[in-house]
Amino acid sequence: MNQPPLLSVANLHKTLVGNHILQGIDLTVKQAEIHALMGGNGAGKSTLIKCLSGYWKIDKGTINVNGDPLQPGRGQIAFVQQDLGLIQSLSVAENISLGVGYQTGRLANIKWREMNAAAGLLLESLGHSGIDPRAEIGSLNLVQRTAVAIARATQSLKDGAKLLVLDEPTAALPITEIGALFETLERLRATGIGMIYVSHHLSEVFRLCDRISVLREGKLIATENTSTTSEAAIVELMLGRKLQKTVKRSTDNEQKIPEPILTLTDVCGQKIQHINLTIHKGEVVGLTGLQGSGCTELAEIIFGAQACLAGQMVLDGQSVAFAHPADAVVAGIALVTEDRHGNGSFAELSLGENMTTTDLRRFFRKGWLSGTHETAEVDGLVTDFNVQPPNGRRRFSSFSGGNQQKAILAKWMRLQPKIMICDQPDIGVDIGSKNAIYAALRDAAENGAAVIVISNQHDDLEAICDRVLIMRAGRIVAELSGEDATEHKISFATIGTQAEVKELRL
Amino acid sequence: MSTSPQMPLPKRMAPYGLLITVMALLGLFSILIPDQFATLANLRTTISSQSVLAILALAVLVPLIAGEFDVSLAMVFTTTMLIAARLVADFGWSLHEAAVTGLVLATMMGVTTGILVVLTRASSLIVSLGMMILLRGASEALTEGRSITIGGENGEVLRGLSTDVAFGALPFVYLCVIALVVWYVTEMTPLGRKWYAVGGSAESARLLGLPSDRLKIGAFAAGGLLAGLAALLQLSASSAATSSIGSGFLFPAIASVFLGAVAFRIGKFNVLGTLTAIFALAVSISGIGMLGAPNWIDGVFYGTALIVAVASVQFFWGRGAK
Repeated sequence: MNQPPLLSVANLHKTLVGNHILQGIDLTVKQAEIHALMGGNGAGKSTLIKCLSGYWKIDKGTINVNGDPLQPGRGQIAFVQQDLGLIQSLSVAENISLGVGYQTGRLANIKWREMNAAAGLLLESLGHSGIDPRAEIGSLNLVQRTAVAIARATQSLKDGAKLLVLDEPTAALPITEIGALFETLERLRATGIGMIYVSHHLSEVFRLCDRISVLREGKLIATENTSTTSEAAIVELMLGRKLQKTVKRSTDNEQKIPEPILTLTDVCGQKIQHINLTIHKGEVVGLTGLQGSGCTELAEIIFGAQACLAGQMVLDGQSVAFAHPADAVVAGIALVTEDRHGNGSFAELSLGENMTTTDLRRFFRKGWLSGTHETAEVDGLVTDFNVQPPNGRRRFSSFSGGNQQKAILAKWMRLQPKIMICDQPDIGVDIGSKNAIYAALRDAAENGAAVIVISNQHDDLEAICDRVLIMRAGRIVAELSGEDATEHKISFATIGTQAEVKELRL
Repeated sequence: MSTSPQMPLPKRMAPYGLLITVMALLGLFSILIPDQFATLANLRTTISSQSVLAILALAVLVPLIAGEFDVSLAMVFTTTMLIAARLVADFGWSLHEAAVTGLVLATMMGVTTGILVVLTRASSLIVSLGMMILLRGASEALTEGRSITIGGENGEVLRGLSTDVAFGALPFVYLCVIALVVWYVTEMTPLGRKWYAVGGSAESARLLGLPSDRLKIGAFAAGGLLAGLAALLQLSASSAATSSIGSGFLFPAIASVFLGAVAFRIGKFNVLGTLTAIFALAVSISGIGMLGAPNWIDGVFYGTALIVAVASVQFFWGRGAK
C-alpha cells in the first residue's frame, strides 16, 4: 500500500513568548490507529494540538495531512475539545449541524426533519441510537454528550479526511462510563479513522490505543507500540531525569510527637467518598490526583464551601460542621483557592484592600476605617512577602500572577490559621515566587500550623511535603511519607496501574 | 487606583474630569447668560429640584456597589409616597406616623427584592423588574387613578417646611446629610468595604468568609430605605402624590450612578461621583434650556454625556488598568 499517512509532522518548532515550547517534533498517525499523546504538564501537548488546529502558526517544519500540507479551517482534521464545546440549550441535531451549517429549503427555512434524521443516522453509526436528535444537550448524560461532540467532529471532516484529535475526552467522565466511550472510538477506528488521543491516564491508553507517543519538555521522546511496551516504561519516559530540589525539607520534625489538629472520619461529598485522614500540627501534607480526582472538593468540604454529606470532622479535639466558609475562617482554617481570578481575589480593589478584607474590624477605630493602621499593616505584609512593586494601593489586577499569589498568601497568613490549605498555589506563578511561597508555607508549618498543599507538580511535593496523599476517583488511594514520597512514586500512584483502576471500578 | 507621580498629567487628572467639567459649565453659562443663570434663585431651583433625584440615585448606588441592580427603586419611591400620603389624607394619621411607616415599608420592599434575588440566584435586573411592575400595579390600586393631596393643617406644615426653613433649600440640606451618611458608610466602615468586595466577586467574598447573601440583602434594604427618604422629601415639597411621579426618575438616577463611576474612584460606583454627575447634568440642562434649546435636548444630552464619559474612561484609562 502506497497510501500516505493520515498525519505526518516533521521537525516542528514553535516558540511562544521566548520559550522554545516545541523543539523538533516528528509524529505520524496511520489509518485506523488510535495514537496516544502523553506527557506531563508543560510538556507541549496543548501547543502541539494548537499547531494542528491552526491556532498557532508554526515557526519551522511541516505538517502534512493525507500527503497534503495542512490548511487550517479546511476540515482536514476534526477536534473534540476537552470541554466538548457543546451549546447546552440547543438540541443534539442543532449542535451537530452548527459546525457544517444548516440545510435550508427554498424560503431559507431550516429543513428540520432532514437535519434530525441525518443526526440520528450519524449517532446510530457511532452506536448511540438511543440519543434523540431533538433532545436538548442539557438533558443528556456525559457519555452521550461526548458522543454528540465526537459525531459533530467527524461530520466536520471533509473530502475523505479521516483524522480526529481528542483532548482528554475522559476528563469529565465518571470512571464507570469510560467503557462506553471506548466502544464509540473503536467503532470509529473500524471505519478507518485515525485518532490522536491526549490523556494522562495510563490505564486508558493501554486499553484503547495502538501506539503511544511521549512528549517531555517540548521534545517527542519516543513512540512505542502498546503491545510491546509497559506502563512502567512509559512512566519512565514521561518523567525522565529528576529535577533539582528547590526547597529543603526540614528534618527535625520527626523528633516531635505529632499532635493531631484535624481528623476526618468517613467524610463524603458530591464527588468524594469515605475520606479518612488525620493532619498534625507542624506538618506539610501534599494532596494530589488527576483532574476530577476530588482534591479540590475535599479542600472545599473542609473549608465549609461545599456540603459535607456524611462523616465526621474533628478540629482541635472538637467536632465541627461548617455550614459556611465564615465558620471555618473563625475556627482557624484558610483556603487559597485554585482559581485565583474567579474566586480568590477582587481584581478591581487594591492589593491592600484584598489583604485586609478578612478582618476589617481591626482597622475600624473610633468610627472610621483607619487609613494609617491599614496602610501600615499592608506595607508590612508587602515587605515581608516581597511583593513587587511594593505598592499596596495599586489595583490587584495590575500585579503579576506570582505577586498576586504572594498577596493572597499574606492575607491568610496574617490571620495565623491553624490549618492552611493551598489549592495549586503554583498556577500562573513564576519560579522565584513559587519558591518564596513554598518557603513561607514551610515557615508556617514550623510555627505550628498544619499545611495542606494540593498540586500536580510532583517534584515540588517531594521537595516540601512530609507526606503525600494520592486521590483517585474521589477516594484517597495511597499515602507516601518520608523517604517514600518521591516524585517518581507519587506520579506512579497518581496515574495508577490498569489492575488498580479495574479494582476501583467494581 | 494608583496615583504615582510618574503618571502622565491627563491620567492623574482623570478622576477630577467630571468635577472640572461642572465648574467649566458653571463658568460658561454664567458668562453667556449672566442675568438668568448666575442668580441665587436659579441655583436654589436647580439644587432643590435635583435633591430628590440625587437621593434616589444614592438608593440605586448602594445595591450596585454590592453588584446588584435594583430597578424597582423608582416604584418603591412612588409607592411609599402614595402610602404615606393616603395615611395622612384618608386615614388621619399624623405626619410622623406616616413618615416612619413609609420608611419601614420602603425598607421592607428593598429587603423583599434582595431575598428574592439571593434565593432564586436569578439576575437582579429581572427580579427587580418584576418587582417594579408589581409595585406599579399596586400603586395604581392605591390611588385608583386620582391624585392624593395633603391639605388642611398638615398641608400647611409641609408648605412651611419647603419655603421657610433653610432659605427654601431644605431638600438640599437633607440631601447633604443623607449623602454624608451614605458616603461614610460606603467609604469609611467595614460594611462599605465588604459591599465593594461582594460587588467585585461574590464567590471570592464567600470563600473569604464574608456572608455574601446577607450583605446583598442589606444593600437592597439600604436602597429601599433611601428610596423611602426620597419619597418623603418629594411629598413634603409637593404635598401631593400621583402614581405616575416616579417613573421619570428611574433612568436619570441609573445614568448618574454609571456616569459617577468615571469620577473620583475610576471604575467604581461611588457617592461623590454620583452627586457630581447629577449636578453636572442638571447644570448643563438648565443652561442649555435658558439658551433657548427645545425640551427634547434633555434626553439627547443625558444619553450622549453618559456614552461619551464612559467610553472616554474606557479608552484612556481602561487599557492601562486591565
